[in-house]
Amino acid sequence: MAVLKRLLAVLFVVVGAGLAVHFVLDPVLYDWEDGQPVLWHVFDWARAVSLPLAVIVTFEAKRRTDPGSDVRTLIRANLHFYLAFALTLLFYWNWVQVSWAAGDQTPDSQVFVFIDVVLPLVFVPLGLGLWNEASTA
Amino acid sequence: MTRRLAGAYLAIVGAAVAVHFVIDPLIYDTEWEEGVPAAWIVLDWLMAVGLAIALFVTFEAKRAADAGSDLREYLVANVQFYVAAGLTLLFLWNAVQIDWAAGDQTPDSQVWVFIDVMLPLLFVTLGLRLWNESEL
Repeated sequence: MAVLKRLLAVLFVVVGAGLAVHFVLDPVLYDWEDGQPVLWHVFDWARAVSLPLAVIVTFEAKRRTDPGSDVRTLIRANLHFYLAFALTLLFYWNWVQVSWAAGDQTPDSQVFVFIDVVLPLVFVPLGLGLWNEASTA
Repeated sequence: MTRRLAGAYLAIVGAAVAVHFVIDPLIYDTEWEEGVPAAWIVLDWLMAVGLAIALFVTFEAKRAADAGSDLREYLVANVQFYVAAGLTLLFLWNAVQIDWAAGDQTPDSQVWVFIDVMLPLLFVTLGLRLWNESEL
């Protein structure tokens, strides 16, 4: 269990921190004239995999803390779960429009900006928390 | 003394951004035909320095509050830290597009509006707190 927690922790921290850095550097690195850069496709797939995992992990944490835990733990667990859930919905809605839209729809760039800013703020603390849990278990 | 200086800096920059944001439509034409006005460039650099200070100060406060037992302090410290971190990402992403974009990208004006509204709320609050703390 501790190994699984550590693997998930590394996944969340790497995806979160990598995304934050790539987001800030994006305007300097790409002119976007040849379509979506390859590295963004990599990050899209990484998010597509890690967001549902984050929903599962945060739901488990929320279920554990809901009955009778202190307010601080309750707030943290619920905030993580609902943010992960909302980010998953937003991400998948936007991502499927990159290549698989039925019509001429394109992804909403401001929704991607929102995801690229909020996801690292959820994933990095989540990953660090999991890592610490695995260390103390 | 350092905390008082940092507090004064954040409060002044925050207030300056707020005032300049509100009067911007009155003093500049809508097209910004001569590029980004000099006062915004100056404020951009001041905001960049301020955000680095805010990140450091709020992270220190968050670390202390996380280890303590006061719920109110915990909420304040965490909200301030995550707002500062989010604003820093948004600010850097938008600011590098002013002069250093690889292609024809330009800064997102709605992101600037968001920053220009949220940053003063963070900076003035944080600045006043730092100032008052150092008085004690």
